Parts: sequence; C-alpha cells; structure tokens
Amino acid sequence: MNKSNNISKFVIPLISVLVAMLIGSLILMVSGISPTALFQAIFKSTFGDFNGWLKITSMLIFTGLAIGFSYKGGLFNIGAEGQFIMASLVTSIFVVNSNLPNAIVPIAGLAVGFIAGALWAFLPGLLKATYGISEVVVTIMLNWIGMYLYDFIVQGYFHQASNAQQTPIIEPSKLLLINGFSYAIIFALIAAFVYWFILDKTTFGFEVKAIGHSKDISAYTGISARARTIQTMMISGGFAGLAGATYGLSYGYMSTISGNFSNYGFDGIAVALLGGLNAAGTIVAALLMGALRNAEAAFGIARIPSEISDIIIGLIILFSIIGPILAKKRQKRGA
Amino acid sequence: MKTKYAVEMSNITKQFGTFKAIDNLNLKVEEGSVHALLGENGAGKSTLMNLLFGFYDLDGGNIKINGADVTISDPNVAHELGIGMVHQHFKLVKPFTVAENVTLGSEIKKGMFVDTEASEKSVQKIIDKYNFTLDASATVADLSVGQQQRVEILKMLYQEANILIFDEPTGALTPQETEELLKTILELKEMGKTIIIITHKLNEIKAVADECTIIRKGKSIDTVNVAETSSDVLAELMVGRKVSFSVDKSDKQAGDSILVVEDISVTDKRGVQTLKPTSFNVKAGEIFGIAGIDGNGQLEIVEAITGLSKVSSGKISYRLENDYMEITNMNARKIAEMRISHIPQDRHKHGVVLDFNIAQNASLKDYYKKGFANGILLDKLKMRKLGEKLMEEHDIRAPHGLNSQLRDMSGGNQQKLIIGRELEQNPHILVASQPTRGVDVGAIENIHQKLLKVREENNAVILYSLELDEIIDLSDRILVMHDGEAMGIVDPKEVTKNEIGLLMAGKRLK
Amino acid sequence: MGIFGIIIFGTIALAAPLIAAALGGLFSERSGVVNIGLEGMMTAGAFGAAAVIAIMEINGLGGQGAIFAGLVVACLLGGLFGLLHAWLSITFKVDQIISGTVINIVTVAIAVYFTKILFGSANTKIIMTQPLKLGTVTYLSIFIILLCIVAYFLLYKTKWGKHVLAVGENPSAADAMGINVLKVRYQAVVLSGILGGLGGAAIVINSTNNFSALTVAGSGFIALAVLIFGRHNPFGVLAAGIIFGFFKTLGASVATIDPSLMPQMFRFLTTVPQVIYQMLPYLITIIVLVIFSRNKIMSMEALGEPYDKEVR
Repeated sequence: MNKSNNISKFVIPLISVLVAMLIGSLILMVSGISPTALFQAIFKSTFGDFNGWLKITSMLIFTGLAIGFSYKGGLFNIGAEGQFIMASLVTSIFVVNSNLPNAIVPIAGLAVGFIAGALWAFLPGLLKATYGISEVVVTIMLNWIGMYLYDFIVQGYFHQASNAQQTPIIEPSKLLLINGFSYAIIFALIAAFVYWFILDKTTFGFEVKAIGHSKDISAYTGISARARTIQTMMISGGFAGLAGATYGLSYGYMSTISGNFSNYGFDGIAVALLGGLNAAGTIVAALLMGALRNAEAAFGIARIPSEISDIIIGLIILFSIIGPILAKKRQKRGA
Repeated sequence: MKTKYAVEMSNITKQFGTFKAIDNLNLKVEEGSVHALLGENGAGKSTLMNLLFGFYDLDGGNIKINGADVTISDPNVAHELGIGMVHQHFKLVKPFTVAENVTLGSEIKKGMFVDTEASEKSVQKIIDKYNFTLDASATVADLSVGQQQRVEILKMLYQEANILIFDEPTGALTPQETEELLKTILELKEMGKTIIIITHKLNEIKAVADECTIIRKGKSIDTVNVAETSSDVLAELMVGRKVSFSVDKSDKQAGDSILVVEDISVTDKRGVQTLKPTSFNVKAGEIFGIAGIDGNGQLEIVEAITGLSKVSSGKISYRLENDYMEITNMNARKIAEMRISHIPQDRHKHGVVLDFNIAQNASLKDYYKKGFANGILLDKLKMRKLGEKLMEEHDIRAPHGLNSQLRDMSGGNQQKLIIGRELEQNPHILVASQPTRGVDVGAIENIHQKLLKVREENNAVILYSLELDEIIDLSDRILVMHDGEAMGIVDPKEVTKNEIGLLMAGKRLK
Repeated sequence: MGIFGIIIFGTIALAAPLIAAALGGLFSERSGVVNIGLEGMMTAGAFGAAAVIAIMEINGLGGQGAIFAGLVVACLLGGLFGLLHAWLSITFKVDQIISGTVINIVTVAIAVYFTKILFGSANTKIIMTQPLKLGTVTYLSIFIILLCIVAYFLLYKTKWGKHVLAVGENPSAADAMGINVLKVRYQAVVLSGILGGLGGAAIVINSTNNFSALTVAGSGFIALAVLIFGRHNPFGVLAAGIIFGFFKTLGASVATIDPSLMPQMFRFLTTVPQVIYQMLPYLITIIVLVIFSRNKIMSMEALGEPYDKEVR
C-alpha cells in the first residue's frame, strides 16, 4: 500500500509532464510549427543559460512553497502573484535607498520582501478568519489592486528614461549575484527546508495542519483557528514575497508591460500541485517549470508563441490532479 | 394458500471498499404486513434498504418485487416498482414548500412552467385524506421534526407507493409523536400497504410488527413471528448473546458539588434563546444525566460547560482544590487543562481530525504541553507511544496500525480513541455527549463500564444521551430538558420511564 | 450627448458582460458547483467572438451575420470549458477551486496562443462591423438584460429550475426523488459556461472590438462579486451588475472628460488619479464581500460539495 503510494508519487507527475509535453507538441504541429524546435529551445536555454534557469527556479520554489503552505493550512492563496509584485517593488525601493553594507543588503532585501508579501496577504487572512470570506476571491482582487498600484507607483515615481515600466535599478554590487550566479537558489533551498521543518516538526505546524484539515477542531482543542488562518496566510504571502524580492535582487530591476502580471505567483500553483505540496517535490517541480519558463526567450527566436509554455503548464496541473484520482480508481478496480 | 411476498431479497451482498456491509443476506416480506428489521447500529439494516431503494448498486444476489425479478439501478426504478422510503435523515429541501418537496421530480406543469396551485391542491388532498394536519404551501424549514416526517410519508403516498420503508423513524421524535407515527403505520397497513420498519427499539416492534428479521454483521440471523416471540429473545437474537439490560452500579454516596451552574442561557446567531436560564449542580462521584429529545437545549449545556460555545448569561463555577473558580466562557483548552474532559457529540466535527493518524489524534490534547513537547517542537516519539498505549488499552483496531488515518477507521474505533484520550487526562469531570452513538453493542457495554469507573473513582460524569434507557440505567440524577428549559431533576429510582417521557414532552410533574 | 449620457450608456455597455457571466455563475452555484473558472470561460468567449468576426471580415463576410456567428462560437467555446469544469469537478470530484483555476490558466494561454498563430500578433484584428444598436445601446446588451427575466422564470418557475435548486440545496433529497443529480449539475455548469462565453463576447462587441490577454482582465472574478452582491438571484444580479458597470465606466472615462463639462460639485472626480478608478471595482468587491458576509444566504447548503451517494 505504502509502496504503491511512493511509486505513484513519482510516476504520476512524470506521466503528467510527458503527456502535457506531447499535447503541447501536437498543438504546435497543428499550428505548423515543428515540436523539435520546442525541445531544442528548452534544451539550449536550460544548459546554455544555467544561471538564468536557476534564477527562475529559485523564484518558482518560493511561490510553490507559498501556495503549498496555504494549502496545508486549508487555504488557497491565489494571491501569490499580488504578493510577488508588491514585495518586488518594496524590496527594490528599499535596496536602492539602503545604506547598509553591500554584504548585508541583499539579505535585508529578502527580509523586507518577506514582510511586504506577508503584509499584502494579511487582509485576506483577516477577512477569512473574521468573516469567513473566501480568501480565493479576496486574493484575486488584491492581485489586480496590487498590479494597478504597482503600475501607478512605477509610472509616477520611477519613470525611467525608456518607456518601459521599470522599478528603480539596483546597483550590481547590491545584488544576490556572484559572477552571474544567483545565490537566491541557496535561500530557496533553505526556505524549502524551513517549510518542511515548520510543518513536520513544530507544534505550530501541527496546529496549522489540524486547522487546515478541520476548522471545527478549533473550538474543541482551543487552537485558535483565527490566529492560525491569519498566520498561515501571512507566511504563505511571505514566501511569495521572497520570490518578489529575489526578482529585483537577481535581475537588478523589474520591468513590466502596463496591466500585465509577472505570472510567477500563478506558476506557483502549478509547482505546488505538481510537487505534491511537499518541500522536495516543490524543488523538483520548480526546476522543471523553470526550464520551461527560461526557454521562453528562445521560443521567441524560434517563432514559437511563448504561450505554449502556459498551455503545457496548465495541462501539467490538469494531469497531476486527475492522475491520482485515475490511479485510485484503477487500484479499486484491481482490488 | 401460497403466501404472496411483496419483497424477496436473496443472497444479497454489498461491499464498501474492503468492508462487507451486507453478506449473503436473505429477506422475505409478506404482502400487506408490517415487517421489522432488527439489528444493532451498523448491522447493515440501512444499507440493505438503500439497496432495495436503488441508492446503492448491488454487488451480488437478486431482488424480487411482487414475485418478479427486478434490477433496481436507481430510485426512479424503485418509484416505478412502488417502493417508497422514509430515510433516517430526512431527505427534504428545506427552503421548498411541502408541495414542492412532495412533487419534486414529478412536478405538475402548466405549459412551460410548474403549476404551483395545482400541485398544492393535489398534495393538500392527500394530506386531508390521511388526516396529516399539514399546510401544503408551508415551507419545510418552518416545520417541526414530526411534521417533516409526515412530509416524508406524504412523498411516498403521493408516488402511490405500496411498499413503504421506514428507516429508524422514531429516533428524533417525542414519545407522543412516536405513538402517533406507530398509529399511522398501522393505518397504512389497514389500507393494504406493505411496510418495512428498521429499528433497534424492541417495544416499537412489539407494537406494530407482524414479523421480524434479525440482522447481525450484515447477515440475516432469523425471521420470527413477533406475537410469539418475547422481547428478551429478540434482544438475544440481535446481539448474539444474552445481554443484561441493567447495569451493575454500586450504591454510593455522592460527594460535594464539583460544578455549580447558575442560570446559564444561550442565544444562537438568529437571536433565538436555545437554552433558557438553567441551574443545577454536579457532585463528585455521580453520573449526572441530561435527558431530552434531540435539540432541546442539552447540547447547549454541554458545550457551555466544555467551552465549545459561549453563554449569554449566567455563571459556571468549578471546584478545584476546595476553591470554586468561575469557568464561564473560558477557552476550551483552559477548561480541558483543569481536567474537565469532553467526549463530543459530533466526533467527526469536534472529536478528531479525520486526516490525522492515530498518534496525532491521540496527542490532540497534549501535543503542546510542557513535558510532552520539546519547546516548540513536537515530540513524535511520545506521540507514537501515547497512540500505542491507547490502542492497546482500549482495543482500538485500525487497518494500518498506528499510522492509520482516522478516516479509514470505523466509528466505534474512532470513539474508543476519543474516550481513551479523554480518560488519559484523568478528568475530575468527564462530559460525555452521546458517547455510544453509532457504536456497536459490545463497545457500548465497555463504554458504560468506563463511565462507571470514573464515578467509582469519585469523579463526576455528565452524560448527555438521546437513549433514554442508557441515561436511566447509568445516572444517579437526571436533568430533563424540553424546549431549552429544565423541566426538573429526577432520581431514576423514584420515577418511571414514562414520567421522564412526559417531562421530555414538556409536561411538568406535580 | 451630455456627460451623464456617456456614463449611463457606458455603464450599460460594461455592465452587460458582467451580468451575463454572473447569470452563468448563478446557475452553476445554485446547482452546488462553485465556478471560479468563469474568468476563463469569458476569455474563451471573448477570443472566439473576436477571432470569428475578424476572420469573417478578412474574408469579406463581415456584417451582422459575422457578429451572430461570433456570438454562437463564443457560447460554444464557453460551454466547452463549462463542460471541462463539470467533468473535473462533478465526475472527478476535483476541488472546484482548483478546477476553475486550471481553466483560467489554460484558456488565457490557449486564446493568446491562437491569437498569435491566427493574427501574427498578441491582439486580434480590430472588428470593423458596428453591432446593431438601439440608440447607443447594443441589442446584445438589451438581450442580456432581458436574460435576467428569462433566468428568473427558468430558475424559479420551471421543472428544471426547481431541480437545479434542489440539487444545490440537498442533492440526496433530489436523488431520492429520482432526479439525476450529476446530470442536472452538468447541465447547470455547461449553461454557466455558455453564459460566461456570451459575457466574454459582449466585452468584445460592446467595448474593445478585439481580443488580447487584457480583454477579460478579471471580469470573471468581478462577475462572481456581482453574483454575491446580487444575492444569488437574477434581479439582484441585474442591479449589482449595473452598479459595477458604473464604477468601471467612471474609471475608464473620468480621465478623458473635460472638467468644465462637469457640474461644479463633481469636478473633483476628474482630479482623482485614474488608477483609483481602475482599482475601484476590485476594492468594492472586497467591501461587498465584507458587508454580505454577515447574513449568509440560507440556500445552497451543498455548494462546493461533490455529490457521492455512497459516502458513508
């Protein structure tokens, strides 16, 4: 029983990814594009631009953990995107204006990003805990509010010489980079460890999971569902905030088209579901998704619409949720 | 003359996962008779009827209705065959009217639209025919439990069903409502209907049934003529061994009051006072019973004492080391830490986390405590040890041992875990809310022994149960509730069961 | 036309898509299925309408026929994703929120992908055909407003509507009366998708005249807010839709209005940064949720719960 569970833990995500890739290839073929171009682009950009791959991966680990943590606590934080955007902006402003020594500044920046993300997630947590309002709807609304606020601030105060909407540029010496290698990945791995440690080892994590499974247990055990809900949401937002901070601290600035999302927050949903909501799975899933995302520039050169990666990602989530259900049905029939 | 059977079920089998709920079972119901299905909780009576009604799919065996082989794939087929069922948990759409509920699925139409007037008329006609005193245009949510049950019966009559199944029909009724229902059942029989009644109450079987089939662990044990069989024999057949109906309880003097409840009242979210000002005290070394029909304020009392909900007025004091301290509206954890343990009524909701395993659920009251946890870290070894201890001491059985999720365990084993965990707290007061609900008979006896042991050790038990016999057998004093109001505190040795029944129905003793 | 005329007609143009989609949400949720995928169904509809109409125009088939064809395709595509949502959440019993989220992610990606394939850019070609109008209001908007009345009768007065309400309230009661719970839910969710698709098409036809990733931009979620604000009934949805449309109009038009045309007391409105108006519908949604959280609707006991009759 447990053995077959372990196998399906790896087999189902693997099949999900392969089938999604296959369907993606078919869609390309139907549109008259050779799927080999897709795989060449992914291969080339992954190994040709190792640092770029890891940069994206580290952010996806953070957002994947964000979604996973909320899910463990019985919540669904679709607002990772908004938390990412706000944290990215706040961190950039902080780092650019900071007088801290260059060795400390990136780490302080991460801390600021964590706090900014956590604060942006406070309201949905509070509304859920106090009034029982769906955190899903509230965080989606806050994504849009955050995005417009970001646009407004960036346009109004940091209007760069170019027309692009950019956050203030961080000097290279203050970045999380050594010879182009972003050591954000190390912090991402640490975050994954902390995620596992909190949920698996601490009494706090025990309570988060208890409330996540059953809100009603709160009245009986005296665990404050209200406090845990808000804390879960804020920690989740904090993880998303770390991703936002990493963006600025890896690339120097964030540049967006007005009215557009970064999509790192949304990708976190795919990472978390594909990774089975656990820390190790999230890392593997983020590496995979990171490769896809990192290849988007190469897609452009190969004249492949970059949305193909969104389609593939959507399909991956789809299959990784149907997969276990199908497997269970088959197991039942077999028994 | 050859007997005509309305229902013949042969070699019926139904499995849920690995659990065989019905195992090669046979049942024959004579046309125009009242046939009782007797069995303990979880014996498979309801499952059997759900199979007959097309709710579940058959895994094996065959069914004949009025002598013809049939396959009942869904309730529609059952309807066509003239089978109707009153479910234990009413299947009513609360915001709909009586007429809407009765005609659901077979609405009367006028053009494209539903003809409300015509359907209310036709439903009212049946109501009047059977003297059900109901208003077809009333909203079901506004009706009493007894009235809602009549709506359920109406649904069957409207469908012109000839085989009527009643699944535990009296569980939520007052004694008076029960009597009325039994009368109705006999009237329906007079009209030529075939009736199957599922119950574990022997007196009801004696009152209405012609024949009785006894079911044990999914198997049919015997079918007997009710008039020729004594209650004792029926009971023995049901459990498979002689059962002592009386509990061995030592005569002992109760001590001082350990809990003093003064004028507590509870008002719900809608602003309705569900518990009117109520006072009583509980003494060390006694079992204090709370009796009443479901939903008459008993749960409010229990939840107020254990901190699950708040009172809107009044005071609860608890004696801890010779001093009385107020615990009114305190947090449940603080109350529990003062050794007031609680076996909650709704174990899935409050008692356990279904997705947690045995070790985690066993430690639900301790996992954070100094001496149990390592600071902010869980002590998983201690949690496992506690789980193992409870499994052993309370004979908890689970499919994957200590790592089993509670979800995969039977109700009885879940309950054993809860009781074990609560006793592990060495309670001064054990508040037991329907502790034997959904638990098999063997376990019931065991639970009763445990409650008595708490009493023996000079601690107090507050027992809230809907099973009046259980309360009468175990309690030293009984508080009887009606409509959120205390009707009085009685000594079970001094009053009859009937008198308590009258109190439950709202009639005060002189 | 005066300022108020512009705002009123703008309101109707922007309210209609929200109302159509919210009616879609209404059927789905009253049947017990949360439909957060409305956003994606609108996206599918908006893309379908814009692409079909533009392609027909390119091929010299422009005109009202093209608009009609666009609407039909929009409804079909919306319905198709409704079917996907039904399949995932009813048959597979996937968490309804996750199912909806997947649909939202996939539809935007597919729509933009095919926009690029078909039109070589991230936007579809601008539609030239003017939709038929009564004054300045499109017949499509009028049709959608009338749909509220249809929805009312469909939900409360027909046999099917009663079945929808019953399966959303107490599925096992409906089942016991021989109603096929899964079938009714499938029908309601597919209808929900069709109406969502119609809503998406209405954005294109009433306002944007083309499709891009920014066309729907959260309208599906605002439609859900309209549904909640409208207390899950058709006329409530109508009123709530108009209120939300009004704020969207203010956000879109305030910056372009010449303050001197405004009555003195409203002139300050033009000095408020546009971003405030852009955020306003989203902020109002949150506020509305807070206001209505206190008195939850009695109905829809079974909302969000997959139906499994063999659960013990």
